[in-house]
Amino acid sequence: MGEFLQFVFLGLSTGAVYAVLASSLVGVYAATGIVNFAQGSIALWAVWAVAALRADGTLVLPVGSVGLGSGPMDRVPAVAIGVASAVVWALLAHLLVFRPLRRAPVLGQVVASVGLMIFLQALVTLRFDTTSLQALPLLPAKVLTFAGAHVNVSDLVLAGAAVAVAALLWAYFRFTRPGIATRAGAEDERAARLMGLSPDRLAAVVWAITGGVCGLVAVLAAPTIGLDPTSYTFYVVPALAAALVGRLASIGLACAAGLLLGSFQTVILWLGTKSWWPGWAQAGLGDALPFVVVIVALFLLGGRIPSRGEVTETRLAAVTIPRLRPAPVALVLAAATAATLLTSGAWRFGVVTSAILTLLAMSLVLLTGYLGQISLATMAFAGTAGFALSKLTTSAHVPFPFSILISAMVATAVGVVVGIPALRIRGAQLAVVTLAAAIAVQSFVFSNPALTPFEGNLIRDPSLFGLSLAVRSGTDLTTARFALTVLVIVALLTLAVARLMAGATGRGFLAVRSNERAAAAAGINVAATKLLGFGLSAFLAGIGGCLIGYSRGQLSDASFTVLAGLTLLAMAYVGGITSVSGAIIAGLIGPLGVLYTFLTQTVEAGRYYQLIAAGGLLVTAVLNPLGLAGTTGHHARAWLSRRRRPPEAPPPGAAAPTGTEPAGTVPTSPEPSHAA
Amino acid sequence: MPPDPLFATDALTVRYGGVLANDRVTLTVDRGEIVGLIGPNGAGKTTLVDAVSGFAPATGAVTLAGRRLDGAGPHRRRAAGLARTWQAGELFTDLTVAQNLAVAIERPGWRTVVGDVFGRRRPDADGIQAALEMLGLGDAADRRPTELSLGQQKLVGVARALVGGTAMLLLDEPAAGLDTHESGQFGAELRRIAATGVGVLLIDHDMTLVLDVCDRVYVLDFGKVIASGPPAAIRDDPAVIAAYLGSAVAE
Amino acid sequence: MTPPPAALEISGLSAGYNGVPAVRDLSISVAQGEVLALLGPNGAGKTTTLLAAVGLLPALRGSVVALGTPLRGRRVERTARAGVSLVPAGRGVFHQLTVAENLRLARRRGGADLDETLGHFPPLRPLLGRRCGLLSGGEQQMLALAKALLAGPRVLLVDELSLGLAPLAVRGLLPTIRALADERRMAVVLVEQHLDLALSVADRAVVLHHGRVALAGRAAELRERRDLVEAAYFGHTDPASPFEPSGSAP
Repeated sequence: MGEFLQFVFLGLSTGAVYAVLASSLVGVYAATGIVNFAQGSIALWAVWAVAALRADGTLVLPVGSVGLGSGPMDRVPAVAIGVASAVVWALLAHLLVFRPLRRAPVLGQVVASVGLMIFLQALVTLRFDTTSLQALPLLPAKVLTFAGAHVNVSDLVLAGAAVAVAALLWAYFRFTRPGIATRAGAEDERAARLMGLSPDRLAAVVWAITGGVCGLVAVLAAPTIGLDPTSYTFYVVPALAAALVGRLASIGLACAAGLLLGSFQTVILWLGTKSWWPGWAQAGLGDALPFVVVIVALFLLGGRIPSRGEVTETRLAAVTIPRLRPAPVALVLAAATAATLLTSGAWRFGVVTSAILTLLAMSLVLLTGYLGQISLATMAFAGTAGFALSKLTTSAHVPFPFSILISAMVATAVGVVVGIPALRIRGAQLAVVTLAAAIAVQSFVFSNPALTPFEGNLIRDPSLFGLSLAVRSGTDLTTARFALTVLVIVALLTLAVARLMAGATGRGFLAVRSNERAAAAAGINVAATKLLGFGLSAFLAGIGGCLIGYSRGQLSDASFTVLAGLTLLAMAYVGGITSVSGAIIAGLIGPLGVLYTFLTQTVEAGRYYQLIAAGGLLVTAVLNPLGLAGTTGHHARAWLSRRRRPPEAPPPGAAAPTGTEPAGTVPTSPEPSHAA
Repeated sequence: MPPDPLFATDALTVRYGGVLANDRVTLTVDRGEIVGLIGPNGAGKTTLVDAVSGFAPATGAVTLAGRRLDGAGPHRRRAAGLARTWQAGELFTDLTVAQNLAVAIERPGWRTVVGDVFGRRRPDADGIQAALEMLGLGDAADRRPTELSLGQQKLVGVARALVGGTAMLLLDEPAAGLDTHESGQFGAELRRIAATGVGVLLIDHDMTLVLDVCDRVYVLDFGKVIASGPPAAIRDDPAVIAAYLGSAVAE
Repeated sequence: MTPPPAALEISGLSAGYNGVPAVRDLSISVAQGEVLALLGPNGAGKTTTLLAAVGLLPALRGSVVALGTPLRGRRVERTARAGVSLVPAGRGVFHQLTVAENLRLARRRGGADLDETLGHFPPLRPLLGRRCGLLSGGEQQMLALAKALLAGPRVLLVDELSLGLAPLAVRGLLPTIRALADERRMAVVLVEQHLDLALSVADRAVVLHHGRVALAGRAAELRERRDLVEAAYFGHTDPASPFEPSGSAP
C-alpha cells in the first residue's frame, strides 16, 4: 500500500505538467477554437532557456544569444525570463500563425499547429547544448513520509501549482470581464463582435497567460522529470487526452484528469516490475494509456464537444481532378528512372526514399486531401506493415510479392480500426485521436522489447523467381535492381490511385469532404466511405512501410517515429495535399529524401532539415494554403485560360438569359432594370 | 384521392429539447403531384424535411410507395427514391455541375474502386444531361458551382436530387434567390418534373410560385398543420393570412 | 418643419451573399428619434439590410453612413462601439453565461445606467443569476434588448423580435422601444414579422419584396390600407401580372 501510494505521488510531477498543459489547451480552445498541438513545445523552450541561464547566464535567442551577467543566473530571475520567453512564443504563435488562420479550414489550423510544434522542437535541438545542459533543482528536496510512503515535497508543490493554475484560469474565465467576454466569443463570435468585443485581443490575453503558466510548470518540473529535447513536445498528447476528458470545455476536469493520468502512468510502471505482470505489457503501456483515455473520453463519456460558434466560410484547398495524360506521365517516369540509374550510393538511396515517400504522401492525399480526414497516424500504418513484414519473412518465410501484400493488408485492418473514431468526430479531434494512436503503436509495438528484439526486426531480402532484389550487394549500398523494383511498385500504385481519384471513388470522397450532410442526402454511405478511405490509405502506407523495411534490411523503433510521420504530413501539405504532383514534391522534400540527401551530401546542413521542413510548413500554411503544386498549377491554369478564352466571351456566371427579358433578370447583375 | 399515395407521413413528430418543432404532421403526396408546404419563419418546415429525409430524429411513420422508411439512414432513404434539396444549396464545390449529379448516381465503395482502377466506367452522361436540360442548366454541365448565380446553384441542387432513381422530391426553398422571372420559369420546370410521375413537396416563401404551381397546399404554424387544400382556398383562409402577417385574427 | 439629421443613411445599397444581391438599390434614411418598420415576406432582404447596415455584410454597391461615418472597411466591433447596436434574429444572448454576465459585457462607458435599463424590463431582475439557456424565449428577447440598450446606442437595429415567439411575448417590448426612441432620441429600424405590432409603434414603414422596395409610407396610413400591404407581401404589386388562382386541383 505504501509503495503504491509512493508511486501515485511520484507521478504527480508529470501529472502536473499534463494538467497545466490540458488546462491551457482548454483555455486556448475557448478563446480561438484552435487545438494547439504546440503547447508542449512552447513550454519546452522555456525549460531549456532556464537551463542555459542557470548554467552560464546566457540568454539563448532563436538567432544568436545574449550574455546576461558573467556567471550562472539566480533561480528567480532565470525562471522569470524563461517564463517570459514562453509568453513571447505564445504571443508570436497567435499573431503570426493562428490569427491569420482564424478563418482557415481546420486542416490548415491543425497542420500549422503541428508545424509550430515541430519547428520549436527542432529549434530547441539546434539552439541549445542538449548534451551538457541540465535542469538544476528549483524546489525543496525534502521528503515526507506519509502512510508508509516516501513523498517528495517537490511533487506535492507541483501538483499544488497545477491546481492553482487551473483555479486561476477558471477564475479568469468566470469572474473577469475579458474572461467572460472570451466565453461569450466562444459561444457566438458574431454576437460578441456586434457588442463591440474584439475576439483577437481577447485571444491574445489567453495565449499569453497559457504560454506563461505552461512555461512555469514545465520549468519547475524539469529537475524532477529531467531535461530532454523531445519529451515535453509530446506531453501535449496525454494533455490533449486530459483536455478531452474535460470536453475541451472544463478546466477543472482537464486538470484532474491530467494529474490522475500522470499518477496512473507511474503506477503502471511500478506494476510492470511485479512478477505476475505479463511480459508483453512491461513497456509502452503507460504511453499507450492516453489513447485509451481519448477513446473512452470521446466514446464512452458521450456528449458533444462544443464547437466554436463562428460564422466562417471555411474553404478547403481546391482540388483539380487528375487527368492522366501520357506525355507528362512518361516524362516523370523517365526522369525517375534516369535518376535511379544515374546515381549510386547515398544519392540513389535518397531517390529510392523519395519514391517511397511519394507513396506515403499519396496515402495522405487520398485520405486527407480527398476525403478530408486528418490523420497523423500514417507512419504508424507504415510501421505496422513493416513489422508484419519482418515476422512474415523471418518466421513464416512468406515469399516476396505476397509478403508485401499480406503486410499491407494488416496495415489496412489497423487503418480501418483507427478510422472508426472518424465516424463520430472530425477535424482537430480526429487529429488528436490519430496522433494518440500513433504514439500508442510506437511505444507499445515498436519500442516494446517483448515484441521488438533489441537487435531490431530483421527482414529477409526479397527475391523474385530466384532473382535477388536485395537492397545491398557487396559494397553497393543501393542496388539498381532494388531501386527499380521500388520505382515500379510506386509508379503502378500511384497511377492506380490517380485513376481512383479521377473516378467515381474520388468524386465520392470529394463529396464527403465538401459536405457530409449533402453527401448523405445524395445517397452516399458516409460511414462506409470514410472507412474505405482509411483502409485504402493504410494499404498504401503499408506498402510504403514494407518498402522502407526492405530498403533498411531491419526495422527498429527509430524507423517509423511519430515525429517522422508528422514531418511527412508537413511535407505533403507543403507539396500540396490535394494532388499527385503535390505528393511527388512531398516525396522529393520529405525526410531522408532527395532534398535531405542534398542538404547532407552537398551543403552539409542536414541538421537544419527538420527546422527547414517545419518552417516551410508554417509559411505554406499561413501564406499559401494550396501548397506548392496547387499554386503552381493554379497559375498555370490561369495563364492557360487567359490564352484560351477570347476576351469577348461572357464572364462565368452570366448565363445566357433564356427568355426575352432584359439583362436585369440575370441575377449576377446588380443593375436594376425595372423599378419596383 | 387514390387510396395508396406515393408518399405519406403519419403523425410525424420532432422534439428539440422541450420544443415541439413538428407536432403530429400527417400529409400525403401522389405520383405526379406538386404539393406546397408554407408557413411563417420558424414554423417547422425545414425540420419536417430534415425529419422525412433522416437528418432529424423523429417519431411517426414515413412511407414511400408503401415502404416504411422511418428509422433508415439518410443514404438509404435516398437510395429508396426519396430525395431532398437544401436551403443553402449545399453543392460539392470541388466538383463540376455534371460531377455533382454523377455523385448521386454512382456511390463510392469497393466496386467503384475496382471499376476506377481496372475498368473504364463512365457516369450516366445522358441521364445527367437530361436532368440538367429539364432545369435549363444544359450549358452549365462543366462549370463549377461557384461560377453560377445563387439561383442557378439551387437549380443544380434540384437536378442533383432528380437523378439516381428519384420518385419523391422534397424541395426546401428552391426559389429563394431567383428573381420574379426566373421563379416563373422554375414553376414551369417543376410541372415538367411532376409530369414524369415524380411527387414533389415544395417549400417556398414565394407565394406567387407556390399558389401558382401547386395542386394542394399545407400550411404549417408552430409545428402543426393548420390548414390544407387547393391554393385558391388557402389564399383566402383567414388563419393563413393571420399566420403570415401576424394579425390578431384569433382574438 | 425641418427634418432632423439622419442617424442612419442607406443609399443605393445592393448587398447579398456570394456576390449575388439579396437587396438591390435600396435607399433608406432614419432620423434621430424615429422608428422605421422594415417589413416584407421571408427572403425579401430585411435581415440582409440590417447586416449590411452594421458592416457584417459588405455592400456590393451603394453606401451606408451611420452617425456621420461611412461604414466601408470598418470593423464590426468598432461600429458597435461607436453606437450602432444590432439585436440579431438569433436573439444574440450568450446561453452559457448568466443574465448578469450578459449584462456586464454589454455595459460600457457612456452607456446607459443598469438600474434604469432594468427598470424597463422588470421580469429580468429576479433572473440575474440564471444561465441564459434556461430562460424562456420571451425572457431571452427581453435580455437581448436590454443588452443592446445598455450600450447606449444612438442607432438601434432590431431583427425579428417575435421570431418563433407567440405575439404576446413581444407585445410589451415594442412600446418600450418606442418610448426609448422618444426619450433618448434613438434612431430605430425594426424588422418585424407581425405587421400590426410593427405598424402600431413605427413612424414610417417600408415593405420589401425580392430585395426591392415594394411599398413605403407613413405607418398610420399603411394601417388604414391593409389591402396594399397584403398585396406587397404576396408579391403582386405589378398590375400586369394579376394573381391567378391555379385551378388544377381535382
